Amino acid sequence: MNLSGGNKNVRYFFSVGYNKDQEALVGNNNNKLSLRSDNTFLPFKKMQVRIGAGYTHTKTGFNSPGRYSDFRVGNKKLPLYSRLVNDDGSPADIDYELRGAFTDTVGSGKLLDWKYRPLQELAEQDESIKTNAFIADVDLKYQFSKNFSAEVKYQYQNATDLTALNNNVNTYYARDLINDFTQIGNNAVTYIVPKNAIREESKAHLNHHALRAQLNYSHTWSGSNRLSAIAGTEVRDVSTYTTGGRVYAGVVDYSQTYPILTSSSPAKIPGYTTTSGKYVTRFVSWYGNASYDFLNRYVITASARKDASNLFGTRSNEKGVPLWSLGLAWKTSNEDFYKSGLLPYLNFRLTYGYSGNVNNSISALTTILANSPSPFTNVSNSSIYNLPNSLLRWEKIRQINAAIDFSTKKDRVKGSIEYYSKRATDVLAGKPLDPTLGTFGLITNSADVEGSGIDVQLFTRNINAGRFKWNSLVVFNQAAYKVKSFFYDADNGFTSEGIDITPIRDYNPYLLVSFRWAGLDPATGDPVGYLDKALSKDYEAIVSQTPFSDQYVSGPALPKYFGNVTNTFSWKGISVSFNVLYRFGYYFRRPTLNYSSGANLRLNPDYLKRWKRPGDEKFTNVPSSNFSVNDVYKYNFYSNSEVTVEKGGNIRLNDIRIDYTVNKIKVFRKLIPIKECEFYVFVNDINFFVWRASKAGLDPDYPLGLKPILNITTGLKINL
Amino acid sequence: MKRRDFLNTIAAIFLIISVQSCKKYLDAKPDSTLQTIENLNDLRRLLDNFLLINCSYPGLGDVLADDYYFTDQDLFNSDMAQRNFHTWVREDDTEPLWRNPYEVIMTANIVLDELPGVEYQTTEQQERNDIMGSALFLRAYYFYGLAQLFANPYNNNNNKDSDLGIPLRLNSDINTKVDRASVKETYERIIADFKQAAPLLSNSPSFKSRPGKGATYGALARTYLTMGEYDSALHYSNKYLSIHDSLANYNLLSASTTPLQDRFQKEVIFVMRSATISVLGGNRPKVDSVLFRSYNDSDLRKTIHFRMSVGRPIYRGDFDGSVISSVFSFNGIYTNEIYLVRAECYARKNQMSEALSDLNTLLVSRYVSGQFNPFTAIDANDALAKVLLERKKELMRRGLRWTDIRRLNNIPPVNSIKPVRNIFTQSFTLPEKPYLLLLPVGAIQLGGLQQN
Repeated sequence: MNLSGGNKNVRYFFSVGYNKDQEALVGNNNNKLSLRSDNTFLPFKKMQVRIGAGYTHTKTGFNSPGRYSDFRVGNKKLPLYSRLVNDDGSPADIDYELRGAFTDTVGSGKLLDWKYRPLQELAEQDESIKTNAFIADVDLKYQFSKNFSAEVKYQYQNATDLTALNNNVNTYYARDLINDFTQIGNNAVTYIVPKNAIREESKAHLNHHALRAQLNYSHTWSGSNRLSAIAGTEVRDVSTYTTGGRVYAGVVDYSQTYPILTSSSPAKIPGYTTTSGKYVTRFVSWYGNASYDFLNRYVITASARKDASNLFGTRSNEKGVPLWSLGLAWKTSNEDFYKSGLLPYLNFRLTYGYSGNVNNSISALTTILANSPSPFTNVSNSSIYNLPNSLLRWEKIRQINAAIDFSTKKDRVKGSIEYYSKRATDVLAGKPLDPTLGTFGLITNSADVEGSGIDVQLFTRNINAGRFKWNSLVVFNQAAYKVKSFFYDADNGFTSEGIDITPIRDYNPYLLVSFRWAGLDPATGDPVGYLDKALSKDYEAIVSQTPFSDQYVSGPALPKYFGNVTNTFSWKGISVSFNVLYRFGYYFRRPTLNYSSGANLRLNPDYLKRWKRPGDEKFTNVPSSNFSVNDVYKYNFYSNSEVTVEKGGNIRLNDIRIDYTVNKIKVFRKLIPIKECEFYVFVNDINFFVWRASKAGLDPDYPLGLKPILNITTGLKINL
Repeated sequence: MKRRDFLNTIAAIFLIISVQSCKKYLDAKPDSTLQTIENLNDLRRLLDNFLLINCSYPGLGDVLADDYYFTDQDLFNSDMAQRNFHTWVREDDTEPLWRNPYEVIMTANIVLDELPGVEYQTTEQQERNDIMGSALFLRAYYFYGLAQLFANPYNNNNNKDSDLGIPLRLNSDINTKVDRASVKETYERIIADFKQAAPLLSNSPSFKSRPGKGATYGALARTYLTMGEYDSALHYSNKYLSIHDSLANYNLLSASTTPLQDRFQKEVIFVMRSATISVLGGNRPKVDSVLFRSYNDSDLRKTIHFRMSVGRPIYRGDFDGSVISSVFSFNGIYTNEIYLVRAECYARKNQMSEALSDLNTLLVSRYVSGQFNPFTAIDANDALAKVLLERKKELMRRGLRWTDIRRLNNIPPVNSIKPVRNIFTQSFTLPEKPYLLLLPVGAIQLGGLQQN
């Protein structure tokens, strides 16, 4: 709900909103209240002041014990169709962390119940996050002259997150910890951890200041030459303070070591670990840009900016990165000689520029991170957080853009075609390192990547017959990337799903790479591959020795061509739009049947297509169930072979929006006049496939099958 | 507000955000728990990181040696790599076993590289020396540990320059390539680092997780024994025992569930253990029954070091306080080891009575009071055999037995030890050629190191 009004010198706006979301998992929910006010006034001539303030309060509950598939028994998934409810309707228990035989008998009845029941957890869990946020901003703008103005903006934000997890004595967490430490004597039971709730709380406090000062200048000569320029500077300061810990409802001795029931090693009560930290991020930027429009035909633009931050540990001169760009535009249709009935508007643009990037989490110097006190000695100590890397440098991106903007008569068709070419050098990415350096790897300058592409946007008015209109928006993108150099080579037996950067020179950085497939053995139904180009069933050797040059490269895991088509039909106040997405030229790997995972066996319909008798190899690529638990290499080969690669191309209906607008009506016995009333329904994540290249029936975005659920938003906007 | 005032405000803001004044502003630490190295205490804290520094020893020797046997079922249930190590099969699943020690070595190198740039007060000179000595000690200690698994055994007369040792990383620059040194260079570096560390360290460090002079002499004695250089081993065991000679009296321990629960008890001079080696835990490592029966009934180790599980003896004498056996190997410097080093050196130098005297000093503390009959021998060779047997009986689960097998099979006079495993109806014998672990794939492919 909002309220707004005002006159020439004062404008005001006030709104209140309340949101309640239902989450997919029972027990999780989200409530939000928001207030916002915004006032603009002109205290004296040439001066404009805007003051805004806002407040939001959010409460999110996390009381779901998790998805069925999140449960683990030891390191195995919960068996399929485990019972969650007993015949009498009470919550059923599952062997969660401890074996049933243990929890049945341990303590011979002297302990608290030690069973884990998902439905009991759902009922007992009490975890929530409350967020209070306050925001205030002040803008001052002063118009010195017709050409010259200056403005100062300041924004302040303050937010507090309070996370509270109350494990009451009926929750598994509390019962488990209490039982574990319980000391059973001959006739006495001593509770070391108080038989009560265990509460965990954490608080995060955020303060954000932003101050910006900017000068604006614009001047027009003889109607067709125009100079406009801005220059400004900005400081942002974000500081976060966090604190938190665990509280037992009773007296506990954290220093003592006690024998515990689930381990041979005695343990201390998990401490009142007050975790606190202070994080400060500071940014300073200077920027300027100018454009000169000559005869309303030729435009030159230039822009530059320098950003600096308190990037930890690097020397000051490395903190800032300069960025600049230069541009030219030619408004061809404004030339005297240009006379075209077909394209009355035509414009060419060209820009060239550099930008830089740095990852704030890494540094060229050694940084150390404080640990909690050492066990046994209780001495304060630290670990290396960032290895010294004297060769660390900025990631640089050079970009060239060339574009044409055009429109036909009466804007029947208008749009733009843009070509870009990028070269990123010294790309900061994770690079595995020789374990002799005592580390897995680090983020460093590890690659050069080249890319180019075309972006096309067309807006067409197909039908404009009075009250009925049909408009279309067509977006087409083509993008291609290539790794130009990477500072290490692919391992033997390398396969990839294209989720991480694939380190292969002259290939797309996100690449699908598989083992070559030679079908199923007609005698046994075992998968057959190649080793040194000869047929082989030595899976261990295939998996560890096949060089990259012998692997099967399908192509990129990111679409080469993609975009969307939106058609909007409107009649009187009703408009309906359909947004269709398309993606072509990419690949994904589908999940396969894993015989060797035992209790982790995922249901996969491929099981029905498995090789059962000689001859089946002509129809299927699914190996026989002749897998033993130890056949990890066999499964690794099969699941990463070319037969599990699917084409990703698809066309899907993604969302539908329906709008209904009424103007100038009177409601409530015609007493209340309404200027405009708008009602809309937005249906998102429909994911209805019009066409897909793969026959596997999977959504290439979510090959594991867990898709986002259909999302429906409705709204009503009334303007009095 | 006048036009002029407003202009002044703008100018002031530009000035505030000028290049000069923002330098300091941007020096703020983004995370209060993160910091650069500024003082000696920062370096000390890196070396006090117990869970890394004192818990990363490559203690796999206990799986390779002959103290234990495992049932087929326990081996089948354990990690495939541990199964292969136990049967001396070529296995390159050694990534953490290699990387964790090198993480300590990297930390030590960072400390050594940063130390010259860190300012200190004159009153901090001893602390500075101690930090430097500790870093050198740790680097050498871990080089030694890695050499027992990945490098050829040392043999002064027989080693060729082509016999590979380990890569000796001596600085923290990640962009330097370091190849594998020869075995000789490896041991020379270990000795040099320990010798440089000894005078820098104090006699009695504040914590047993920090090395002192004694620990360094002990480590030198152990290293020289491994190299077969008995004069030097004797020299350093004397130096060690002149500082630390007290032994735990087993008569004062009760054979309760955790008789050795004090991991900092007086025989322990420097604390060190391995990362988890799961096959060594619980009831899995069975002790050879012949070995178990060799403990005299008045030998208190029989009840303090062992417990029975389904009629089979299980070792628990690991100073970890576990009720059942822990999953670690304990690789610190303990006084009992140094008595045995000195006894062996005496025996090898034909000083029979000195050898027996050290052996008896140690063992009298292990026997029921008044029931110990001092060992005697017919000659130095007999004394040596007795010392070697007691060494095996006293120093289980310390990673030392594997080194003993390597050196006794290699350094003349050779005392061949060829353990045999019978697993899954297959019989495995320790190969004639020294069994070396394979370097992890990453060290070969990313580091360009030569494989064993």
